[in-house]
Amino acid sequence: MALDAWVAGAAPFRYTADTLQSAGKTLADAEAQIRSTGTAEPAEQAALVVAVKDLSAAVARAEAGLQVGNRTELQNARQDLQAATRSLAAAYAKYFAPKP
Amino acid sequence: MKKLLEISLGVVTSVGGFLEVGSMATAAQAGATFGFQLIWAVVLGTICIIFLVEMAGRFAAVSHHTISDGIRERFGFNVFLWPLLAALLVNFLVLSAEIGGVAIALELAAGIGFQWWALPVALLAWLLLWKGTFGFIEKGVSLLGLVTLCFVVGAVMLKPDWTAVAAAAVPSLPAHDAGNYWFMAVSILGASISPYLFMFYSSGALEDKWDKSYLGTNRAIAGLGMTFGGTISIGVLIVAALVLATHGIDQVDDYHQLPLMLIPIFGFWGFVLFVVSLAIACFGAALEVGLQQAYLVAQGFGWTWGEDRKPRDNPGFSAVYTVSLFLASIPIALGLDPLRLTIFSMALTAASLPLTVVPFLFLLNDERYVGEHRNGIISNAAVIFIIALGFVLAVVTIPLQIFGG
Repeated sequence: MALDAWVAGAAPFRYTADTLQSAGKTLADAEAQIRSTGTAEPAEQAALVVAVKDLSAAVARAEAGLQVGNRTELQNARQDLQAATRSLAAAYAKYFAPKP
Repeated sequence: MKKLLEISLGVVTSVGGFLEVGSMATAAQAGATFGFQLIWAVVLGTICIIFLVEMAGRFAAVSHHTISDGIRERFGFNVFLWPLLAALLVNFLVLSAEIGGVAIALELAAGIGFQWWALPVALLAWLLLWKGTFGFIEKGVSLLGLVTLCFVVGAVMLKPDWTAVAAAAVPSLPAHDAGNYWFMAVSILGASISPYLFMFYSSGALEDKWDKSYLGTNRAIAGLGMTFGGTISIGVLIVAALVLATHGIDQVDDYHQLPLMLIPIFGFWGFVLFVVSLAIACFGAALEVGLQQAYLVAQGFGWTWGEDRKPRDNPGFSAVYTVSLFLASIPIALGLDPLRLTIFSMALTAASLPLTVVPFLFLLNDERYVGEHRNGIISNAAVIFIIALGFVLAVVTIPLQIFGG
């Protein structure tokens, strides 16, 4: 959302960069937390870790695109972010789904 | 005509001074996570604070005592010590959170980490308290605080389903995440029923030299001012529900998310409005809480007090707000997350309510202080309800901090 706002000229550069950096840090913490949690479903946990990693990578690409001001790269990063967010939501739902 | 002007100014001051980092953060979090569902908590908190503020103002106008003064005189210093310590601790956390709020606004505006702004903000607040008068602190900053009305404008522009908004004013059970839901409800109530608000109000009434002729003014300011103030909090909640939640942000756990609330409505000006609102609202609250710490200690120990006096004429009073501001800036300067501190301090405020509200029941029914203007059935019922609510909040806050916070 912050990236969309920056592209639309509605948010300053510094704020957008800080927000992406903060999101990256939160995702790294989340990944470490998921890894350290013991689970009875290692496959679901691994899928969740992969989804978080993909989202982290997309955030990092967006951050890099923002730094160089490359609009095409940013556009791609936004699409990656949307796809990674959807994957994470799916992996999260699967991980926390009630087990029979 | 003069009274009408005073009422208008008082109402405007209450509106401008209502929103601070606690009400803003709790309403934003509640809106993002639970949509309109927690509007009832804002409504309940606002009704409670209307009663307490009216009573605090009436007590001051009739008895020429502040609430803290009254507690010390009526119950003795040993009893007064407990609400004093609780209020000092809670106010310290709230003051720290407010300084953090201004520091965040400055970080968002300038891109320099919030830690670096804590001491300069405390210094500026101290300078204003040292040099300024009560009228300047009360009216100047609160008038600027009217910028927070942008949340109400934003909420109206988003065209919410007003039937759903009205329906949410009635308490309902959460559909998910029950621990977090109740924790948010407690935090909203803590942010709305802040002891510093009504204690500051009673000190302010004496600073403004109120007497019995101000009872009508007091009622109007308490009723209208707090109602309009609560409306701003509901505006924040509606905006968060309609903007953040619809963009997939259902947890506000990072203060960088907050400016996004107004950007889709006002574009770049939304960012500017958010930063200015946060800075002014929190700075105004920091001045009031800093001053309230000084009022509490000075009134508790029987020192001379008054913001309109020169610092050399009441050195103890000035020393307390100086030390309070400096100490409260330290946690933020050390990098403590202001958003987490805010939510924590609001929940703790709710837990401390019984200590500060129970004395109302005695003071406002004591003819030696309020004479014929003692509480009626409705006011007493309201105080008893708030005390009961305060006890419930005090009991549930810690478990909710662990399981829901």
